Amino acid sequence: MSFSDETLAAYVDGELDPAAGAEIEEAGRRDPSIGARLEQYRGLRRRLRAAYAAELEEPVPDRLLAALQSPAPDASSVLDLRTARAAKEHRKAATAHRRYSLAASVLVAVGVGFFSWRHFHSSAIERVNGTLFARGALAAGLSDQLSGAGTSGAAVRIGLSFVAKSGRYCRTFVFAADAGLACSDAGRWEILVLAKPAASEVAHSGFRTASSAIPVTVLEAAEREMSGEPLDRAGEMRARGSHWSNPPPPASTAPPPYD
Amino acid sequence: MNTTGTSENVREQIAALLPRLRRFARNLARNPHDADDMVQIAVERALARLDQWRPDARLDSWMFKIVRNAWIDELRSRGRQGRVFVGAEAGELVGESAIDREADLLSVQSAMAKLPEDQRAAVSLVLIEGLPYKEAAEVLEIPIGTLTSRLARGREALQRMLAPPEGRKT
Repeated sequence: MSFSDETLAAYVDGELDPAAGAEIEEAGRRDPSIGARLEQYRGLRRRLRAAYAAELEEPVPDRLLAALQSPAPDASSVLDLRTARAAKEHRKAATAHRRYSLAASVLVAVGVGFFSWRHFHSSAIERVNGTLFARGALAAGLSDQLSGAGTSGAAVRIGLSFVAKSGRYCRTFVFAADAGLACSDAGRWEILVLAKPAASEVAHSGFRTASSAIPVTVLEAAEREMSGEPLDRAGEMRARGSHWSNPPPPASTAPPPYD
Repeated sequence: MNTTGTSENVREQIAALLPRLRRFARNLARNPHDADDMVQIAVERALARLDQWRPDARLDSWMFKIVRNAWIDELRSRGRQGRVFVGAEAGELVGESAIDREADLLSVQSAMAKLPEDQRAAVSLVLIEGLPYKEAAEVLEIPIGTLTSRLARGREALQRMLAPPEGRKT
């Protein structure tokens, strides 16, 4: 009786039913060449498993555990964006008056946010000719951290990153009890929107980091500015590598280069 | 939603899978840093799509597939940018520090790193992660026949590279 390599390998991989397996075992005992082939497959499997066994014992990096623990509603930028878009769809039937009041509420949020920042975080923000810029820990977090990657010790947490219609990189962030939208500007981070998470948003979800949820006003501002989709992890890493300057044109409007 | 209990449970199960996900990602990327980035992307994607996971499906296969797709996305974006594939060019090995002293283990990993990507993925899922053919084929989105032929070629190449000293030359 002869068996194909594929059949013998499938047996060693546990893919054959018991009857076929017994037949092969029996053949292996009778025919040393079949026995040797079986042993070759078993030996390779053993060596591979042994060679890679140690990797399972390595400690898992904190950032992976942190990624797993972040609450679902803002675990991913995609989800954040969906939330924002769902909220927008919801408002489509709204009146123009309501739109104006929404815009006004963003302005109020910016104003209120700014005063609270000036009060509590003056070391993290500066005002130059009427424009707000991040500095210190906030600027460093915006430049260095990946979205959602803030560990429990990090002062800044990034929500989503994207390329704005203005052709620069922007990121939503949470810093202390405030949240906002910042866009890269010649090596600095200009803060376009500042807001506090609404108390009800904080109280509503029971997650540990609920107080750092990015408020809807900021998400809406982000969606207005955004060109295309938010950056994924790889895109963020490339942007960080280029120091958040010169984003590529949106993939939807420019064909990929073939050179 | 009313799925909080289930979702917490799934998070715990994913946490338990992290070592295997990292190992699989390393076998794909051949670079531990890229591998961890991919696992992180996969975890985030999985959390965003928990509703797509059916409890009767194997969670490990589902997660392996997300890791694998994250890797494909990464390769595509590298290709678009014309960037050099670091792992392949440098032949970078993973986990060197842990296995330096074990020449055999190192040679197994070197041999794995030299396999073409499709064979490496198949060998990794079936021979190292222990997935049944059917599950591995689903992870890689290929027919079982394609999987077994990649496995056979991968096995053959590994046997050649790892030929025992007593020399069974084909």
